[in-house]
Amino acid sequence: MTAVARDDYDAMTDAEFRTMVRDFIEAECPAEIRHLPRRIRWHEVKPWSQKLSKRGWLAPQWPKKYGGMGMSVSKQIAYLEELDRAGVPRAPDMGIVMLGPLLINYGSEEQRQTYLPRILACEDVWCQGYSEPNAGSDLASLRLEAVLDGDHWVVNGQKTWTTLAQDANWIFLLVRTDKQAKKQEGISFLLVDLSTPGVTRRPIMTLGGHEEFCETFFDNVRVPKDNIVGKVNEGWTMAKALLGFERIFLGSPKLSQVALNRLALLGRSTGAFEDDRFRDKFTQLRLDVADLTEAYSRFADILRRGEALGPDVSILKIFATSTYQKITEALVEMSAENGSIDEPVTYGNDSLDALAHYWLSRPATIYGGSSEVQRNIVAKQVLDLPG
Amino acid sequence: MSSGEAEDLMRMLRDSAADYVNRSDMARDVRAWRNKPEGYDSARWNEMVQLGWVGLRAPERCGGMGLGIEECAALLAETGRGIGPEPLSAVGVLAMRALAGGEGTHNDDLMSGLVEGGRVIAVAWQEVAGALHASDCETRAISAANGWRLTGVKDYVHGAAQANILIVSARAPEGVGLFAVQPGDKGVKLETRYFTDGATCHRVHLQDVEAPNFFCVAPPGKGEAVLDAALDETRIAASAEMFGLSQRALDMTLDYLRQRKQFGKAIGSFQALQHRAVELYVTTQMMRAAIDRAARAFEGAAARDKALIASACKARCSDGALLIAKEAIQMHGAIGYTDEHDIGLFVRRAIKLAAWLGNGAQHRKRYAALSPALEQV
Repeated sequence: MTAVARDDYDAMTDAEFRTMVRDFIEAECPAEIRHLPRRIRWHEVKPWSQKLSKRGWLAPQWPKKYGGMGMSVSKQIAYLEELDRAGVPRAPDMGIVMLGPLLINYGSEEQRQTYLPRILACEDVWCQGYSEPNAGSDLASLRLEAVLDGDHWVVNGQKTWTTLAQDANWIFLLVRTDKQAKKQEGISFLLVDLSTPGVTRRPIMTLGGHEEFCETFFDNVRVPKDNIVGKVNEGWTMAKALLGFERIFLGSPKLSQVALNRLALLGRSTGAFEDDRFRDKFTQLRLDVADLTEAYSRFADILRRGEALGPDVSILKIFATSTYQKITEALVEMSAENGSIDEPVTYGNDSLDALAHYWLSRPATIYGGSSEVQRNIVAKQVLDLPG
Repeated sequence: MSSGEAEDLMRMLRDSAADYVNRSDMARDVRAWRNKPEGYDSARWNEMVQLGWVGLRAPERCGGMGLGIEECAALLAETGRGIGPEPLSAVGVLAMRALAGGEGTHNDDLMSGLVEGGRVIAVAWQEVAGALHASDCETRAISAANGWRLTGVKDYVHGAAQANILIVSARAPEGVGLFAVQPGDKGVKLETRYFTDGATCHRVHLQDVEAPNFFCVAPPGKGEAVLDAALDETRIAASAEMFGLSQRALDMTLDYLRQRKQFGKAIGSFQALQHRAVELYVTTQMMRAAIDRAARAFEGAAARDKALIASACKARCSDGALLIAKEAIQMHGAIGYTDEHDIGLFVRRAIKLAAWLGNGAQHRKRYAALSPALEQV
């Protein structure tokens, strides 16, 4: 096959495309970084990202013109499902998933030419600076301030829960540029080199025992004026408009399925399947995952038809994350005392760190819009309840 | 049929059922006919016959529509919203599929009779509460001159209020067979009780009842598989009805939350109630997912897979309907506890259908027992 034909993804059937992706993963993605019950760090995953980069597969959702795969939504979903299936870790990918599409949609051509190639070359790793100590679910109340001073924005304040900021060299920020405007209307989108004087990162240890995110402080940080994306004070609208089809992935059955497989391992190894109570619980969870998978594919079909997701997609995240937590809670319960030790326990030829799964599942109902916020959205926008 | 035609047909079915449900006050029908031996208005039943609903799952050679389970589930989800008292699932699905799966020489005639409306047929298979399988059968079929003689007691028979034929399962040395008898036959005695929704629940006593060969629906040895497949399909049908009535009960509850004012505002503005309402909505969507999955995979599946598919679906929908029912009462407050408010009709129907052919706990247990060693998840 010629290189051109090889990369004409939309000319392939979904099955052909999936086989191609699967073969590549099997050949190139090392087993030791797959199916990790934690977020992977950049130094561990960089060689794999570079392989994807070389193959032209690092940015499935970007247009070909900017070095992406330029695929239909259907193929993008297939691609991500194949990575999921093989347990391929999610690299620090905010540059690819969030910033890339934002620059492509709203950035200047100069910004695109500056930043996109460096993301694709694995030179720049971006992190997302949205949440603040007092702006979580109510993100629009954020206060990190940027004031124009000649050719520079002067940034002061703090971000937090900045995922893997310690592995990144750039950050994209939502900053307040107008304190008088209504809270959503005074926010801009700003790109900051993390090596700029005045930026400090402090990694935060999670309950799972990993430094997954940071507090990031800005003390009179001077950022070139042109690092604003789009128009000043329109950052909120842009960031929100980009919350498109990726919202479905927060409701993917993948995490639940992986945890369920571990629960099956535990059931087999401990003889728990002989116990009626465990069998019933296991079956319930198994059927939850099966119906979640069906519901997920119904939303995926909406995207495949080229239609937009409605606010009802929130139910996927609500159900997926609560299912996931129920399974990891069962893992801990069935592990008895082993479920109170933060290390893997050997079962036959396999091993299981029940608490690692438990810890990993806790923030699922918090990040990406907490379950409570999702319920507020469904109550008002789907069920048309007042207030 | 092309997929476009199938979609059109599905839409037409849904629309005609929705139209029917909207223009008739089915809740009033339920009240008018509950706890009465006639069970339902035969004129209404004939309308459903004319609309093709009773013959939806009958083969075309018998005048039926020859449609699949997905179309059937779509129809029953709509009629389920209306909670009419007519036994569409018990007669149009369970009896029809037992006849369609059997090999009896008379089966096509019986199906034609159902499709045209001249016959109403119910299935008397169950004997003890909690039974799930055709093999749970103590009723005997003893070989006689021109056929069989049946003796035993059947119970929890749905849809027999106006039945002129009963399909009875009975065990012969060769295995379980299905036999057609008439309620007026010598040795047949019907006892009438009522389910909580007011529909008839019959106990059928059989004492040396003659079942001639030519009237045999499925011969001994063949009846078990035929009946099990029909029962499993009916579990999906009942699930679709529960999905429909759950949606409607939720809609009524949401309306109430929007209108009812306390402490100076609509109670639907309180977050505690909003979040509970969302849980109910999530539940309906998972019921829908379970039914879609089951309806798509059922036809053509092997017997054990049919059982797994149907149990997964019935477990989800039985539990879901019961959750929505009890929450609907709570959110309606005291008025929800009165018989005069219609929400109670939905609650009663949910309770009946949740138990029919096995509740959630029973089906999870069955699913676990039939699962491939629980090793492959």
